[in-house]
Amino acid sequence: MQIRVLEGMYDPHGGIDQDDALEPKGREIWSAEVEDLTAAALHAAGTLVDPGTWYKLEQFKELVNVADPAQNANVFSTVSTRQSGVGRPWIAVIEIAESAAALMVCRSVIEHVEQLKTVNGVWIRVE
Amino acid sequence: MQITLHQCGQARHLQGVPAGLYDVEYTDSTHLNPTEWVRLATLDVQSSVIPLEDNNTEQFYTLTKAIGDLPGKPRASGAITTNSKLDPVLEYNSKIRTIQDTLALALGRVGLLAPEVSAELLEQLLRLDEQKGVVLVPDTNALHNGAVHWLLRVLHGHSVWLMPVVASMTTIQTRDATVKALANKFKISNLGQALRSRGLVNGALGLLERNRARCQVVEIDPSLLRYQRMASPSGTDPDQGDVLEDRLIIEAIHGVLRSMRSRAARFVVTSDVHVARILTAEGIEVLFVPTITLAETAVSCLRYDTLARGFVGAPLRAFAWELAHAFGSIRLVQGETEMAMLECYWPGKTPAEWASETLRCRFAPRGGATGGEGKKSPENGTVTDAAPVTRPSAHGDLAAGSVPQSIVASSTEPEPETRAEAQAGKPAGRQAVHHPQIKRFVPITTAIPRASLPQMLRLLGSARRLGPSTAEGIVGGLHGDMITVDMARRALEILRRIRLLDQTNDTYRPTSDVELVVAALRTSDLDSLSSVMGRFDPYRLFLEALRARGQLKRAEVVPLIRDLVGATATGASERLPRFHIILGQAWTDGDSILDGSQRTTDRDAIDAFKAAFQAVASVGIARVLDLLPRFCALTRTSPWAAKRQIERFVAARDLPAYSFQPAAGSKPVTRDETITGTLDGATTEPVVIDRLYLGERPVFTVEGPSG
Repeated sequence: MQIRVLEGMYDPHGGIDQDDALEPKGREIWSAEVEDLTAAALHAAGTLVDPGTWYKLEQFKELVNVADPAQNANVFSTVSTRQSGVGRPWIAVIEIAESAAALMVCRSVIEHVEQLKTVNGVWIRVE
Repeated sequence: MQITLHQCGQARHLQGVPAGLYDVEYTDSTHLNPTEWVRLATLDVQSSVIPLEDNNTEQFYTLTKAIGDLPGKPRASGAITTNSKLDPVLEYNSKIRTIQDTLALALGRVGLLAPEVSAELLEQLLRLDEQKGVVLVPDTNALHNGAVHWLLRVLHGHSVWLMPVVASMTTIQTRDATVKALANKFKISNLGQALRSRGLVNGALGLLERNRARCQVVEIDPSLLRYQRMASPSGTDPDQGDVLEDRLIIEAIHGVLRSMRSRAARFVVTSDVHVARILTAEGIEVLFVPTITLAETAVSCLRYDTLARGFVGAPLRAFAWELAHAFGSIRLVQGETEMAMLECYWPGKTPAEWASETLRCRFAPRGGATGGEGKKSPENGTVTDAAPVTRPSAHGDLAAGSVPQSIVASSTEPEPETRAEAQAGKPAGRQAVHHPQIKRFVPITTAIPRASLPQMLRLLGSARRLGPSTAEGIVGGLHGDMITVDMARRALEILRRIRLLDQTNDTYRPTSDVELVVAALRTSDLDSLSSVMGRFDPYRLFLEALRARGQLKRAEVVPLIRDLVGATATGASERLPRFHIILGQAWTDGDSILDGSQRTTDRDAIDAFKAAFQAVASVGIARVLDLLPRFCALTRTSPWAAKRQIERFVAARDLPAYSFQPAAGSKPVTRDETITGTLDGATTEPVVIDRLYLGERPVFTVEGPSG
């Protein structure tokens, strides 16, 4: 799952991105590739977030907030987390319901973006 | 037994424990009798979903603060006083707060909790993204309260140097002496000093030990150290602030920063508002990280950190290790059954054992109890959530009646039995599964690797370089790859199956076929690489299915793979077509994955080019961005292969009716990625689909016959 956050404005005549989708004009303020998770997990959690679509922050938040992490909680994935250790770091692989993990990511992103001092609209895309 | 965290993981202790609620309790000889255990929190541990032998995964759990009563809990006096020394209720509450703070700081150190990040701190950290190196000078408190631990997680992509000042080390020595002086006193009044001092000593020294490679204690003028107070069990509370001591730290920080000749960003890390204000006033840049607090709500063992751009958290054993160092001795109890006990103090513990964070532990056998004092084993009448998990043999084969719970809980199983039925004593074997919440299990089977194809190839490169080696050795031979040995083992298993590695016991040897892969990578011959990969059944079966169908919707991928190879994890199944894509045998168009494995004759390809041009051209001009996908769809060729073929036609003037004029380029439009690089440095690169290349010059449009 990849998440991109742009600060800017949506221009219906703007340039296209690599997936031929119209992309808001502005600067990227955050992005990350979330390994181990796919955007489909958000659908499994009951959100109506369509992968590849740009959403305004408020709309994205609304879509994520209605999701129920308990939905499809029976489908598990694993995520890796770096651990500091004596000698050298190591990686722990923890089991987690896929939908819960996807929502965890989205909520953190929303919280993060809301803390940023942005002037223009904020756009979020999950793919 | 006395073991390290690493050995605990190797022995799979605190993994695959029965699901359910656990109490986490502690005891500490400074203020509790050895038989007195005080509850700290409850843990809700989820079922282990993936069989232990199949994948070294950790269980998900949540923790809720639930501090139990301390010995001698007073009744409310009714008297009104604000002096905790006079009011036993206030004094008692102060002790509870100390326990709560100690717990919060331990959870912060281990990564389960993060500080509340202010907008200012966030801005500072985002600015740090542009810096490669950062020097952090923590004050004493920041060394153990989780602030530096958190910063190291957030700044993991940077080179970070930790430069604590020697005054902090003196404080740690003082506090260590305090804890030693209080040991075996069993006086509840010692609680505050003991817990705060131990948290500081073990928290700070653990941090410095784990980061010894990037840590340097900075000297100050020894004569200044006279301003520091020495340990005094009967004297004033060492946690109370002291202006002179603060000044000592500040002067030391000035000294450190003055003596540094570096362009790296330099920050003092503190959670003390007063120190932060003074330092700022004196012109020193400060990262003020608020103290981590613990709310009443449940804390998950994982959280996503947007600054670290990854999941942060701790498996059960890492959490237990941290808590044992903070509280002295802890145990996990389910009902009346002690499942694990960990203690960090025993007579004769050596410096090496402290440095390696060795603990004295007692673990319940699977399905049993530790045999600890006052606790019953299941045979004594306590029913646990799950029966013992019988582990598969070393080869991964499952003996009859020993089906791991996760597999039994798959969709092939009838409706799960209720917990009541389970407790009523159903027969063994399948009775082990009582997790009605798990209706569909998605085990990551050995059929599909978790490692990416480039990572697999880099592992192969490491094996080729090293010669006969173990999985650990091969992983150790990688440069900068974040991969666990377990993940690597499964990738190595795939490499063994496709006859690129031979395996004898624990040793892997590269076969002569590895040179085919090396040559294919050198000449960018992805079709040859795909042929080798075709020895891997799931890869071959999926490719055959895709060829038969022509294209698939993404949503159809997982069910198809499960039909072809049996139960697989969703993530693993979704990743499998990526192997075909990066080997140029499939490509994507919106929500579809298309067959791209056909290689048409030049004559058929030229006919297809003409047809594609007619379909997308307007007034005799076609954009490559439109032309190429249409050509790929007509010929069932991937964009990677199609571009190579068309560029060859252009160079050989096989399309004389068409004009390919180079033009100035713009930002490339890419779709999918293909493998590139050498075996040791295998990586992927995007396929640019909006242009062809005539030599180095890009062509964006094609002119040709109109109508």
